[in-house]
Amino acid sequence: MTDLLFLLASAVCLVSALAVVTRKNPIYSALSLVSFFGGLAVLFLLLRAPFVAAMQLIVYAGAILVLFLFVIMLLSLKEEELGKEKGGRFKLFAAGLAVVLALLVILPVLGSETARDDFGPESALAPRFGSAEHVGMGLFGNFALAFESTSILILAAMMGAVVIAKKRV
Amino acid sequence: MPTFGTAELLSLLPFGCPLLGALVVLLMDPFLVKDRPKLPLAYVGLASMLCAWASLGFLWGDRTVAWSGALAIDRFGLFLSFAIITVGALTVFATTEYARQAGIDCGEYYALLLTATSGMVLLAMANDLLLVFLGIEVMSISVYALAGITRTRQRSIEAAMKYFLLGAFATAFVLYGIALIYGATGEIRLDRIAHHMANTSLLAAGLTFLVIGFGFKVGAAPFHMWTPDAYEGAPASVTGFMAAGVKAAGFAAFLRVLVVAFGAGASSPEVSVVWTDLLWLASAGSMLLGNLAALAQTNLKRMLAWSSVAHTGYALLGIVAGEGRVGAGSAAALFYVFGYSFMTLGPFLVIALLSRNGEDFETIDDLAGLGQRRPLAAGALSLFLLSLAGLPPTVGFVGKLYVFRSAFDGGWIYLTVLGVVTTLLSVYYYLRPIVLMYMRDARRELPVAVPADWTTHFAIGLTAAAVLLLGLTPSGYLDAALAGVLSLR
Repeated sequence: MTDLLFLLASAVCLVSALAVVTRKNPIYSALSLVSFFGGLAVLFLLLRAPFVAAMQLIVYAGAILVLFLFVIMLLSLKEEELGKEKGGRFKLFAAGLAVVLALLVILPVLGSETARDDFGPESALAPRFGSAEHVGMGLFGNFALAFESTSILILAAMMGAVVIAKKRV
Repeated sequence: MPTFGTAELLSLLPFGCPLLGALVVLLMDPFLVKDRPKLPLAYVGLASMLCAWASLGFLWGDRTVAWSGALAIDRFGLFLSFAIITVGALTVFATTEYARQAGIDCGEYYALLLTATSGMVLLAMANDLLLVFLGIEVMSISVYALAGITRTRQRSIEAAMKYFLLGAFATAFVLYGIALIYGATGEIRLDRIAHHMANTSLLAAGLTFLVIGFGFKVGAAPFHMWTPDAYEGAPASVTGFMAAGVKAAGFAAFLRVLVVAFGAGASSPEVSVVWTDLLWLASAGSMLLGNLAALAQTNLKRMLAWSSVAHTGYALLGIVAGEGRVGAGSAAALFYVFGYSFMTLGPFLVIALLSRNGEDFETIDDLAGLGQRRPLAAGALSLFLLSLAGLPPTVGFVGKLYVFRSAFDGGWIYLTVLGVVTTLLSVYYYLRPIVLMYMRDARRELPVAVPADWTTHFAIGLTAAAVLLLGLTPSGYLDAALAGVLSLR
């Protein structure tokens, strides 16, 4: 059952990820990204991380992708503005590079026979692993500094956006 | 649930002070009189930097970790934070007149300089990969925005856009590398990764991604493509900050990750071969490409950008010679980066001094006759260029000497020879502006000094003094660099 779900979700992920980069119309790309995030959420569930799965759907598939779509629709690009497909040789090179990078990651994982059991049996996990409570304890415990530092990051990004976008300095 | 105490709070000071300064600057900005110089903002920024500076001295001591091991308070991080905070303080304090003329002396300019400094210090002190990533991002995002802050100028926007896109690409590499390393070891703390028996091939893949990402951030060949355009297009004050601070902080994290997590003492020593192989190629490429391309430049900022690629190569040579051991090679790299941050900040401060109304004074031919008209500026610029060329009695000479010696002792003979040959080559393009300044008559009217420039003069004087002092009496700082590297153990 788990294997079947895994295969199904991975297939959805692979197909929609490919669609994101191959579709010419940005709206189709963004919508493919939604279905990719859906498949990814299922994969997170299979890895016993229900909280991350829920966040994946709510934050990425829900909020961020809606923003993407808004921006694309506001720009309302016409067919001619999207331009002709160009750089065929460059694309071939990029595809080749992507395959090499993928192999660089996949081969080591396949090579290790214990890859599947690296995380140990379920009983080895902390109780309530992957729950909101568990994640929260981590955020305000061992990872408190990293959690707080993200707010510096967001502040800097906000200032940067304002200073680039506003009319008069 | 871990408990946090006073030690944790004190460890926040080096990067917390600039952050607090940024918040105060943002709150003060709306209450200042419009169309008047924004000096108070610069003073607040300077004060927060000085607090951070004082906290470094206070924290200086034996290695401790805070925040469940996320942050390391050791001589290594504090030593480079010293250079980073000095660079940040000089930039904030010295470029008010430049910023006013360029029309960018808004609160955000100072606040972004301060948050960038905060991110750099965080990066220099980070002891786990999560904080390394966050430090890189806080620093980079602030600097992208700063590069494009004169957004009515097309070149500035082009610089910011190129820097942003390639930087985001590099960040993705760093993050993917971190994910793979975590997958292989189950750890993000650097010292624990070292003692973890792991799936070596997966670890090597992650390390490769990480090295590529860091290569982008420090501008090493073949990942240097963004450097010339970003350095040329960004306003001179920002470029100096970028060249000195971003590079120092990037190398701090680079060196710490390689030595602590993947060094010779790690339980899978074969991975240290992976990065040594990658880095000696990058080092050789950077030294060759940077110096050769710099020969052909007519724009001073662009020439300095290519020279920064070359200097990345020399610093990488030190890291390669160190081979991940806590010894002379790594210390030489650390000292090199420390000294480089001063000698590269200097020329950009001089450019900022000579620029008027937002038009950067950047063509090498324009320098003609500067020796008679502005003897002080010309003298300082000559000193910085001589230091970059690696001539005594400057820090550039001492730094190169130690890097080359440790590389030679480590058996990297060909790489050392390449370093020496490219250094000789570089003397040509560093001396050309000096010859122009003293031996040609001015072709165009040179800008005269205005009273408000005193802060810039002061900062250039301090930087020049640092370059000379580090070159004449380097032993104390070399000892500090060695102590810094030893504190990584």
